[in-house]
Amino acid sequence: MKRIFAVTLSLIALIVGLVLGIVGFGRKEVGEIAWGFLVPGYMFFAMTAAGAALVTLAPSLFGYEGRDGELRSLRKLALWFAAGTLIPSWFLILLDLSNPGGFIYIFSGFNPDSRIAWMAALYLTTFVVLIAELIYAIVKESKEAEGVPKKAMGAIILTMIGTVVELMLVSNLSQVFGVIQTFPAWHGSYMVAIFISTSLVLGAAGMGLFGSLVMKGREKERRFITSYYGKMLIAASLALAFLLFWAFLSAYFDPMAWISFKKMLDGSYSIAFWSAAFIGLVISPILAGIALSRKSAASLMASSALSLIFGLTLLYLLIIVPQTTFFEVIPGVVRESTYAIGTAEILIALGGAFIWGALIALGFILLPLLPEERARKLFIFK
Amino acid sequence: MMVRYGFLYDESRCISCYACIVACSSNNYPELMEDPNPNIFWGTMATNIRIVIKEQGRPEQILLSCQHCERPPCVEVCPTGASHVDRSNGFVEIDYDKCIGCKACITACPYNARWIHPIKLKPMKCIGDACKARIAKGEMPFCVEVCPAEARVFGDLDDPNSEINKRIASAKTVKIKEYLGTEPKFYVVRG
Repeated sequence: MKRIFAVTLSLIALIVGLVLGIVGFGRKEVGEIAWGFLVPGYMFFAMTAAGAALVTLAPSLFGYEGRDGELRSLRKLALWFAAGTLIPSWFLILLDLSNPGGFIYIFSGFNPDSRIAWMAALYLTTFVVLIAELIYAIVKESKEAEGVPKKAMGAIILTMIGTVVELMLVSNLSQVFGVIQTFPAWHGSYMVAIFISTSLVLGAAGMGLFGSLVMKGREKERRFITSYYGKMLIAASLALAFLLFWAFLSAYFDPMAWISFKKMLDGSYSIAFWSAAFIGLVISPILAGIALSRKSAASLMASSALSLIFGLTLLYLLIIVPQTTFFEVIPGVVRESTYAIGTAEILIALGGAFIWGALIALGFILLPLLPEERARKLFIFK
Repeated sequence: MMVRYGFLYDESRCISCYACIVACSSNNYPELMEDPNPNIFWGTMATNIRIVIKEQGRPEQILLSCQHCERPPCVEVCPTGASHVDRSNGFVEIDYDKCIGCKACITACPYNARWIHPIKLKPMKCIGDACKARIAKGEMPFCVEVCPAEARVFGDLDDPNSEINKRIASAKTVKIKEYLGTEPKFYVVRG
């Protein structure tokens, strides 16, 4: 009964999300910049998905699975979290298009020079690989429970492919912006390093929060989650802090890029930037440190939540702010634009959030994601 | 017959009457003539010609439109091939059936020569449909036709006897942001 209620609630949330998206789509308006909030919004989901899979699964390629195989027991959870998080990113980006139904032309008229065309291919590949990894893990555990041993090679090969594809996804995403010369603050390859480290922060935060929530009452697993994702959060946040510092330092010597970066440091976007940097690069790592020393799941959850807010704000600033400065065709003339998140964008983003929650919950209810759970129906369902 | 059309804008002749802008708008986007705010992206009327003004120091003005680049960044970033170069006339064009409205072309254009149609939510640019129909009949685009000061010239860059090549040969012209490697076909005589 409780399960039916949970499934019904999740389906309602899914429908609410879809309706919000459709209503938002019908209210879209033109702004002063081309790529608004839905772009960093979809990036947030895509990078969280890739990051969650990377931080949880990639270490197994190097033989690390926790002292008692704890990381192995988080595998299915991370795979569903990543796959379920990738779907709202499609939702946001499709509804950001004026002709979502035409996305099929990306494949039929594939332009290999276009980073966006590659994004479509990489999203699809990443999703297929994540689902393949998940099904393999569920089936393998069920077979092992029945006493049929399966070799680990299949999982290793799939993880290897998954790791490569997820890194390609995040790198290519950064170069959607990196190849554009119109906005000097985007142009270049430094975005790749920033995007990968942001993805690791978001992935560790996402799994830290989700893992702590679903493992409530399981002290051993929760202790491992607190320790593992806490360390990941600290390491990735410090790496990101350094890379951001490096990006600002490099921009200082490029007068055109510096105009955008300066807006974040002491201009119209400085409050958002410094607030985000403070909570994401100072408070969150401190809370993660407290979580580590006191083995406090609550501290890790707080740290993770702050890192997610920080990640979204950082992506917003990195994508929106450079677009507000255009260097005109007459040297020395700069055209400034303004941007505010529109109602349509809020509705679509909210729709994406509802869909995200609903999908993660549905997977948790229907799939055997916890360590001791095994598939009993249709090979993969509980 | 293969041609390679290009534009010339003579800043020294332009009298800023903006007849080109009005002609472009009223002929290519008549459906937006009564819209009070048709081009929020540029903050102007619905037209393919953008006004760029330098007010500090020596004043300068360029009435800018699509550069019809030989290596257009908008075509490189288009995921579906909707933005393409029509090799039969050299124009950068949009196949609206294939356009998904991702706006990558708009961010990629270093000239800010594309704007967003407020109803179709798709990118618009020179050359408009009405102008294309005129060119097919051997006539000049509207902006060139209405210019009272002959500040605008249009023609085949591969034809040595074309008006545009004569003007290029007789005046010192520049191509805008040429250092980006876009190879624009829009010549400017600086005033």
